Amino acid sequence: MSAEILMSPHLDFLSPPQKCDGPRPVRTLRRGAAAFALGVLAGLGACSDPTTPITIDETRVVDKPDSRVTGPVSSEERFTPLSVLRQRAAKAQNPGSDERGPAPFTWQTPEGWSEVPPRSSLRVADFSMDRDPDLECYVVAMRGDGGGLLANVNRWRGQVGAAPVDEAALADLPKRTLFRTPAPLVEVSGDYSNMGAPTIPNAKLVGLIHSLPAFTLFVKLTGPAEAVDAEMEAFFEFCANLDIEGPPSGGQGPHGGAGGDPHGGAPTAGGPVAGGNWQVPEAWSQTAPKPMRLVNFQLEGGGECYVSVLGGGGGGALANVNRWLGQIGKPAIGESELASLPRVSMLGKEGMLVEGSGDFEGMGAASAADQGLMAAMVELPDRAVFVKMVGPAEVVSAHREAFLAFAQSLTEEDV
Amino acid sequence: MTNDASNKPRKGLLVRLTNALASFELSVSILMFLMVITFFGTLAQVDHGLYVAQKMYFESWFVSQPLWLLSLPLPGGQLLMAALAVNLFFGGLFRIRKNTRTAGIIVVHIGIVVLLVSSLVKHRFSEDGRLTLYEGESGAEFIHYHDWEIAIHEVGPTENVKEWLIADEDIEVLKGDLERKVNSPDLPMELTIRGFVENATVVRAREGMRTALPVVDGYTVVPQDRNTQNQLNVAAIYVSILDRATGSIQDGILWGQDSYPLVVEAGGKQWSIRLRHERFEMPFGIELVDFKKEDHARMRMAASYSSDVLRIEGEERTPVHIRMNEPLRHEGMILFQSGWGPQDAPPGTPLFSTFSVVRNPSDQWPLISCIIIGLGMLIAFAIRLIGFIGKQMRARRDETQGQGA
Repeated sequence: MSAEILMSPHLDFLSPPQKCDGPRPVRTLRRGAAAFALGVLAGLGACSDPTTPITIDETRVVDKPDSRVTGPVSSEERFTPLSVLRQRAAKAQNPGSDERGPAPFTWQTPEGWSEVPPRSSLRVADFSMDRDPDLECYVVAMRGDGGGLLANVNRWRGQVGAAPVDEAALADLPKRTLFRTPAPLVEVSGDYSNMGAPTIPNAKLVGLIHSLPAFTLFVKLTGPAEAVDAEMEAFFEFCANLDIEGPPSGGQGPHGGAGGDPHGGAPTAGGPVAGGNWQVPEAWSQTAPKPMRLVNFQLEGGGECYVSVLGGGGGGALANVNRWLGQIGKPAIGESELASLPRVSMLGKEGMLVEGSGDFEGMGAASAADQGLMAAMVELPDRAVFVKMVGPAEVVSAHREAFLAFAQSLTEEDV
Repeated sequence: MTNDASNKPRKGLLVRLTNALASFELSVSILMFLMVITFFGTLAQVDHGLYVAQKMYFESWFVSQPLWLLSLPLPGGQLLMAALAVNLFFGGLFRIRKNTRTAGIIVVHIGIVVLLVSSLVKHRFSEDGRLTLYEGESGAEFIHYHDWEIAIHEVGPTENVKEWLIADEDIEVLKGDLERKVNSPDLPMELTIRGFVENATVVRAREGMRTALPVVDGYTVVPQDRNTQNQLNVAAIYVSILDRATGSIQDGILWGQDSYPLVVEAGGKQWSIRLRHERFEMPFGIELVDFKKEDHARMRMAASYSSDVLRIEGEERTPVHIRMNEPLRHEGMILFQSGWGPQDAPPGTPLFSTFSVVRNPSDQWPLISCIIIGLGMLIAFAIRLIGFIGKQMRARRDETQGQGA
């Protein structure tokens, strides 16, 4: 390239060399330059045999060792995440403490199926089948609602090119047993493509989704349509037998079944429910939890109420109260006004109570007009507990007493 | 009748070669190919991500571009840039007429060559990575975003620990069945490394599980789809360690996300072997004193964040404030404020600050080259302007004289 070409009308660069066979110094210079150029190209392009033995010639001295191991470490410890190892250590020190992670699953592998190493980090169990190498079945457990039932059903439908469905069609889906509970069945055909894998033409996808309080379970069978049809019964049998290790109730495991319902994911109303001894108002229905929420309820007439627990002071009372006020467009208050807020008896303390209405703008949610907000907060020595109710102003107003009763029914064991 | 062409003296091979290397046709061809690979390289980022597309198209000698059912061979960015440098060298500097009229153009060419050389130096000799610190922590090394290394050190010593390092270029080529022996006269063992996987998990191989790769001590490597964000890929490799003293062989798996290193015995001592992201020492230390983050109103989205750090050189402590677009530059190192975390931490959780660290010997060269190019253009335009004004004045004078006559 030459900037001169763009600028000079004389195009000196294009003109032939004045003396091609110039004097000796010029020829020598050309020769040297050409050799240099070829040398550079050859040097840059040099490559070596990857299997050639090498001698380590790079060393360095560091102040401290990279890892503070003092002796051999088992493969299990090496390949288990540190966070899990710490949880186990904490549990070993305090056997009464509860590990809230999902317990290992159990299943009966159908005839002709082989468990394979998970092909994705999300899969807790992964199977291939003798019938066809393109057949695969896997189990995924995701925290919370995993993005929602409708979104996941439509994601699966999209993988075979099927049109999305709406909530009404979702409710009409047939049910099959998963985790000993009826779960909506997705059964669609088309050309299947998933996450960069080669497309399988004339394929079929069969899947079940089941939301539990602690996580959402997905089981999916895909492959050529005929092969999937042939494995359907085995698939349903597998889903029906899927369970977790140990007794299904007691403690707050993934089933969240302290109340004796091992499948606490289904909406329940009234009385003690999954995860707590609190009293749930008759008009409230427990729904699948969302991230950072301990429990989530849907209110009759619209709106929701939920409990969340944060470590430490949870950011402080004033910051949280002002955040709530800000969500309904109210001005922030100061420390003196904070002290004069109404109180509610909760967890053996006098919790702060915030009430108001306005146009609500929550995190990541679309704004909604004329919404009511009611929130209570208590700071315990090691954590802060929040109960919050949001919904249409008249609904929140109608559930006010129920909210206060629910907040008062909380115990420290619950949170 | 004689042919004029045949009368011309035949040019030597070297002359013809230099003419070809200096030709305008070569310049145009290079520019065309650069445009083509830039186009395909940009499209490839969709499927492969920035890092891989950059390697495939711009840091390669040749590219095999899929085009419908065909595979179109193209020169890679490295070849094109090398050819461009040679073309510039021969055409712009060597063959150009050297007189006062072309002085500015020559200066411009020198500036462009400096720019290309700075790119080469950056490509070949720069190092970049990240340094993450919580408040109160200090560090004097940074971690490469992409490249891996195998580090070996003796278990036991807690200070001034000597590490033997196997570099990324010696590891990443060992895919599939390829294996390589690695020795050091200072180590009582010989390593054989094989089966490098760019992105993998390591799982327990349950009884009856069909595994594609070997099972070692009940665990196996499971290759994963390559993440287009290359820094999220976690590599794994198999290793066999031969104790020279006893002749015993120990097998192991090294994984970039393990909780502990592989510990083996050789020569009567225990050795830690770990696959990790490559690390580089800095000529000074950094201590994070205070990390500041301001959120947008009523949101947990950061509006701005910055770090107060101490630059540590021996006993000397120099306070420095690092924020967006205001990096720390010292001793050839540049530390940018690049991130913080944990991103989803509840209020009150201690946060860490992450710095992008770059060691680039040619850091300021692009600035110098731009100044040279600007100067050259100024000279070229000034010469043209002076020539034009002189020509106009002469024409006017001739016109005046003509009218007077």
